[in-house]
Amino acid sequence: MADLSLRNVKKIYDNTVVAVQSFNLEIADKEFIVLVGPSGCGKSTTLRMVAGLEDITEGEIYIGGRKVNTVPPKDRDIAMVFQNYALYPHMTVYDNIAYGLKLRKFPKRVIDQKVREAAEILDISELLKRKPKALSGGQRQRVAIGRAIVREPQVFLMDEPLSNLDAKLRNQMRSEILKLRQKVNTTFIYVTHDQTEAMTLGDRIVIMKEGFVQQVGTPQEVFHHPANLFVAGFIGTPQMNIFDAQLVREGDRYFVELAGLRVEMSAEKTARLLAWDVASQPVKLGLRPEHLTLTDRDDAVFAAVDVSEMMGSAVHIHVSACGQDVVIVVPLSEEEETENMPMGQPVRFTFRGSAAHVFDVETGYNLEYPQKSEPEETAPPAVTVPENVPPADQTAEEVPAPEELPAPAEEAPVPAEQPEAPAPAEPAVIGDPFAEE
Amino acid sequence: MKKNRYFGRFALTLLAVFFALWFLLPTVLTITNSFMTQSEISANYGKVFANVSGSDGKAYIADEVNLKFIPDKVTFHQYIAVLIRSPEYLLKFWNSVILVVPIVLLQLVVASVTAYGFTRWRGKVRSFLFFFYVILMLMPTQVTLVPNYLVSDWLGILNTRWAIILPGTFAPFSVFLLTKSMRRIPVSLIEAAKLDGSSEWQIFKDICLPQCRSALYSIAILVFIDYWNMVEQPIILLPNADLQPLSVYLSTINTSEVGLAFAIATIYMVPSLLLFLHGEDYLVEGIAHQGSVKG
Repeated sequence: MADLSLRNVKKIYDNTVVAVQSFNLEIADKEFIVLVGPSGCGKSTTLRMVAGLEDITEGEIYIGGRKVNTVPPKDRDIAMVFQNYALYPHMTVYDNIAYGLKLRKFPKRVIDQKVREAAEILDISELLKRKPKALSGGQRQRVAIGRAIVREPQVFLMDEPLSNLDAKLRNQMRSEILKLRQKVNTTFIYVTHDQTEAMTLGDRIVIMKEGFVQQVGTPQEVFHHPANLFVAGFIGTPQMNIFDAQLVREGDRYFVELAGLRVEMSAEKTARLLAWDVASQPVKLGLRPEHLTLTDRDDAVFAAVDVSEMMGSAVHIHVSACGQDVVIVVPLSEEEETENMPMGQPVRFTFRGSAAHVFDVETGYNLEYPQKSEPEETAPPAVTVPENVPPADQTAEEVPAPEELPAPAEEAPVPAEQPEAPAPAEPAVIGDPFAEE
Repeated sequence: MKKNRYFGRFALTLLAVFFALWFLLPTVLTITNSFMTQSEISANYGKVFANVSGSDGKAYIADEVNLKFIPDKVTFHQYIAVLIRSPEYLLKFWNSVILVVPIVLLQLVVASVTAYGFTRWRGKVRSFLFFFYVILMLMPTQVTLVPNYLVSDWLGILNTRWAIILPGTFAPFSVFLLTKSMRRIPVSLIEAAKLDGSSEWQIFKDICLPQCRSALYSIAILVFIDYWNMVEQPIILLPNADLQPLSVYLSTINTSEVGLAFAIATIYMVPSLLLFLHGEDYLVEGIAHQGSVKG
């Protein structure tokens, strides 16, 4: 059990490829942190730097208050579970789990006791005499976890541990990991590209893209208050709908206008926008599919049904509206029959002001949380900006606020040169990390 | 169509059986002939050996070479002569053993350590060195004989067993085979061992070596057979006849002892054969895996 501190950590491969940029994170003791992002975002590299398997180009890593930059992996008191399990194929399950303890010269009796305890926790007691190749994927993963927990490390690192499992087993193992967490009660850093895993497992989630941290926050925070368009698109299934809309300020009130529909922002959101003195402007409006509601109101947004998918507890209706594809999730109650929506059927939808997320067209930042330190500040207090942050479109006063508003995106998530382009263009760049759902 | 396919398969099998028998023929001949009486052997091969010896005035026992597989009378006379009556053959056999066994063992040690270095060490120098090794591997033994002679002379080990053992210890082929084998070990396994607390030596000993078992076995068998059958190296580097292995001695057996040659050759085959039979699976696995891509 230990707290962790990553300060301005940077990784450059071969003096050219920047894998991780100014990574700052304080991880509390016994916290479960999930690093999530698309392939090549630097999440695994970050984890490997914590493990000591990669050198740190710049910055410092502290484990339990001790700087570990040059400490070899075996002396960092960490354990790691690999994506491909990394079990020693020539050893039995017992020997695999016991190997680390043997190297640390534990007495045989203690080793035996610890191995059996771990096997009990993971329900693999009857497999101890088998070789890894005689195990299923799920069993192998349990052994790999067993090998890690038996050492009682200060920090537990997991590098996409469930990626090689099929969807059903993955769900099962996910809950097993949650249970395990209660039992071993230590600090976890978990890497995944699956946002569902991130949302369900993490106390806090670190969302990364191309080496930069996009947002750090609890699952609720990143879901309800995405820092930028990338996070908005990455977190949540189905993906958030992004529209080109207009933010209108009338005195102390804010409205969003979308295809003739005018919705007032909620008091909470209005307060935040007021705090930053946000003016009327064109915006990217983010609306989660589950926050769109079908309505008969005349002023609602018109749409035509493309296809409707029956998901059991809800219907996902894909519609065309405002020149783009939009998804609307309509929850079904128990008695309700599946709504039959033929292609081309006209519908109208609306949304509540509390569900609207407004993003800057140029930078993609959430206008409720722009990249400033304090709303009152007018002077440019750029002191806390790390020198090595590439400030593509950052001004001197743009200081990353701690936690929620982290490192700036190195590029405007929305291509500024084509503001009329259909909004889904940006999320499409992200790929479809939710495919399995 | 189906008939044609069956016929093709049958023809192929027939061809394979033919070649298998063809290659087996000398071995079978050697073994069965080792149980023939001296007079029967002389009757079968007399002319050949008489000609070889160049003694023109000798009376030929037979005009033609007669390849005979089944002896008229089975006798263990040759074996008794080789194993009991004349200890020089056994001495030569022993010479072979004390030359080849250290070569195999030392080569395994040196090659595995070198291969581990080549596996774990990254960089341009490594690539160059490895390329150099491959070039060396392609050179036939005969090419390296002269440099080996010069170096042995310089070291003052010429005409001692070390003149054979020392060059035999360092073999690029074994390093190549083992490096390929070690590179197939997933990096994550080595990383897991590191996190478990292994030192570099422990990673080598506990993780890498056990997984290269088939490659090690293949190397042991191939090197054993290679050096067990060596002729040129002892002739040049170890002229002392008392120290020369049986492989060299076999070629010096003269006409009057043709029958003994069959017995000695049969005995000589036994260690290689046993080693091969014991490690056949490893040998196939060890060689087949080289160059294959593991998913």
